[in-house]
Amino acid sequence: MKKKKREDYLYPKYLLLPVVLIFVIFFIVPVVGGIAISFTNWDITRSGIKLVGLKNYASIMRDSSVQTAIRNTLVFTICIVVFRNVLALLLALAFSKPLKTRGFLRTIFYVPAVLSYVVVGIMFNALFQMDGTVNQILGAFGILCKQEWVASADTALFTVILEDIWKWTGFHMMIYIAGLAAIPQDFYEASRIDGANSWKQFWYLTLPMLIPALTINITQSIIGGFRVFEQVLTLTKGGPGHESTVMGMMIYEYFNRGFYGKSTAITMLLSLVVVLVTIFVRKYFASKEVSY
Amino acid sequence: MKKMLSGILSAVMCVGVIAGGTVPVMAEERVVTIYSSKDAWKDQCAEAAKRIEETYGIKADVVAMPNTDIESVIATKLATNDPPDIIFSNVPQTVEQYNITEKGEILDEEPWVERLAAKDVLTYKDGHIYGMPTYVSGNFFGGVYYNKEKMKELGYDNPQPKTMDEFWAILEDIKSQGVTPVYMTDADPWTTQVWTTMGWGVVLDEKKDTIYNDLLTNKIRFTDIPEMEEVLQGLQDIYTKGYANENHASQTYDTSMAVVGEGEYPMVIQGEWFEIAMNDAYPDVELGSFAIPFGDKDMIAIGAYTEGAYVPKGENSELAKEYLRYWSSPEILGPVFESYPCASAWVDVDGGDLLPAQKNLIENYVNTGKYTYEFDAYFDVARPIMEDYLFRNIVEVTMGKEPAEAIKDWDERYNEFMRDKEIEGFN
Repeated sequence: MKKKKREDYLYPKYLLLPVVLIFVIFFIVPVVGGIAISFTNWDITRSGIKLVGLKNYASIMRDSSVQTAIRNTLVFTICIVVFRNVLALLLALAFSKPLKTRGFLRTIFYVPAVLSYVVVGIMFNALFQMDGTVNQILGAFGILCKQEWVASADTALFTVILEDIWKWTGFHMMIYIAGLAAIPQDFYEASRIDGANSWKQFWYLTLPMLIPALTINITQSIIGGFRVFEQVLTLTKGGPGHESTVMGMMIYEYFNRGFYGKSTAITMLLSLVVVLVTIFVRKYFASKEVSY
Repeated sequence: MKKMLSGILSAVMCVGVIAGGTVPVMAEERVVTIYSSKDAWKDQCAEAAKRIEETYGIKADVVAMPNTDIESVIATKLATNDPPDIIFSNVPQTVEQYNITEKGEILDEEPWVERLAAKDVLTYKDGHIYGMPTYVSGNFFGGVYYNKEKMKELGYDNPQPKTMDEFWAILEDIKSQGVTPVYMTDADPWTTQVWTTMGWGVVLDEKKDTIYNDLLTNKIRFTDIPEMEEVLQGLQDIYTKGYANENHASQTYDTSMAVVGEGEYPMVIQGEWFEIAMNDAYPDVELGSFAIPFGDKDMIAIGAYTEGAYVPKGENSELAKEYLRYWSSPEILGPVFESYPCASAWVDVDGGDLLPAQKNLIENYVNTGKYTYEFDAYFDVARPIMEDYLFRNIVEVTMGKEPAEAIKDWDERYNEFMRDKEIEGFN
């Protein structure tokens, strides 16, 4: 038997090198660099940088604005995960029916997903001003409302959540529609013969078969929720005060003021949370997946 | 044939290059990049830049960004050693914020230094000059700026209240006539803080020789100064007593010209920049002004800075310095000031007649010595956190937050920041 040359073993590994190099340079190095920076006192006014251990992490956790940001980010994430997905699923179920206008309606609901946040921010600002469309509509129904929706501490975060749900529900709807289309119709016919009503069909057949779509949508919503930034920046700028600020805004503010060490520390915390939650969600849904 | 032709052409080009001068060389374009906030890049700046390009052939590539973005962009550019040639900013207020002592050129030897009208305002605490004023000698003559005609309609011809009671009485009377007296724009926190930076400056004037230094060395805390809470309470009263527009929280500064110009609201609490902008937008509307008599004192608090330009260290810094030399010259600024009168930064460039409201404050307060510096002037070291943690706290006061709580929040953030900076007294 002919002995394999050294090159024969190396050949496949050699091919991987460019990809590995790109991955290392553009992913591993920045992540490791980021972790390192988060343990330093680097800010724009310092000529020298020194390690400060966990000081940045302790400092940001003491910051009342960061505490508000953590609370708001969690509220935002929970709300959008629930509402984006419930509404998207309902819409997907409705638009999977043989409606004449379903193509048109699907497009209408998907359009917000392709609009830029700047445009959406301007629209929502106009809608939710004190003399904006929402208050005018309420006035037409005899409800005199002088609420400053975007600029009030009580409602600013609510308007951001509403904007996000409006923008992304259509996108998730399309994924659910694709998931629904992939369920074989035979299963429904068989279940109907077995006496299953619509609710049982949905609960015991549609939902389990939609687990892959649910996994994608919920994972995306969670990641989007924790990384929320543009919505807040374009609508409330985190205000009034810091009442509607989120983790993304705090990273931006710290960076804006030249506190690179602290800014990176918040980024690292946020990334860690996102990674852990995503792993948990994916594992949970993987255990629920059905195969046929 | 083709090969032969291309060979001949190549040979001709090579000989030409070696001989020198046969390959045409484009004249090098002289360009400086200027980074500025949109508010700082005023019409008079654009006019000066146009004149320099026409006269001296140096073109300005101007990047004017919103106020909210400019600081982060400049900070990033400086941190990554990729600075613009010139930075427009408040001089010397932002020297520390942008680390200009390290990243910028010292401009002490520039010929325009000797022509400065207010050299002391420009000089940083280390004795050096890092920035050149872009046109005015000093900024921030704050107070109430009002629509003269509208105030006359309401029964006030040149009001000049000398006590806070008189000030509140004017507001109450105007309100009783069915007009909301003051237009506030709290979506821009920098406008909200005008009240406090003036008020704190005035009420702490008698203690200024010690109190600011004590705050900067942690001998006292902000929470130990009751006058600060009183001034903030005054601000809150404007809202709770119904003297300000109900939609104040969502309104931005750029909406204020229209409402005052149209007479919808008679007054704003602003600096001289408001009158300059009004003069552009509503040239027929005459404005008046009066000082807010904080603590019943007849004085104003002014800024210890001017709008100016830094030259970061870089390949193009010599050209940038040359550009600023031209900018400061009477040939360039003289005609500009004819269209845009101001308190000229230069002894040999006539700024023209000041606009009336600004003139009132300068003649009656600055020239008579009835002024002090605004509160912010003493805290350049804390400027990186002022917008986020002081100004925004003040906005929250306008929406109901207790003044004492706002000062406590600011005090905590300030102390933490100073500890991080390893400032003596805070560790």
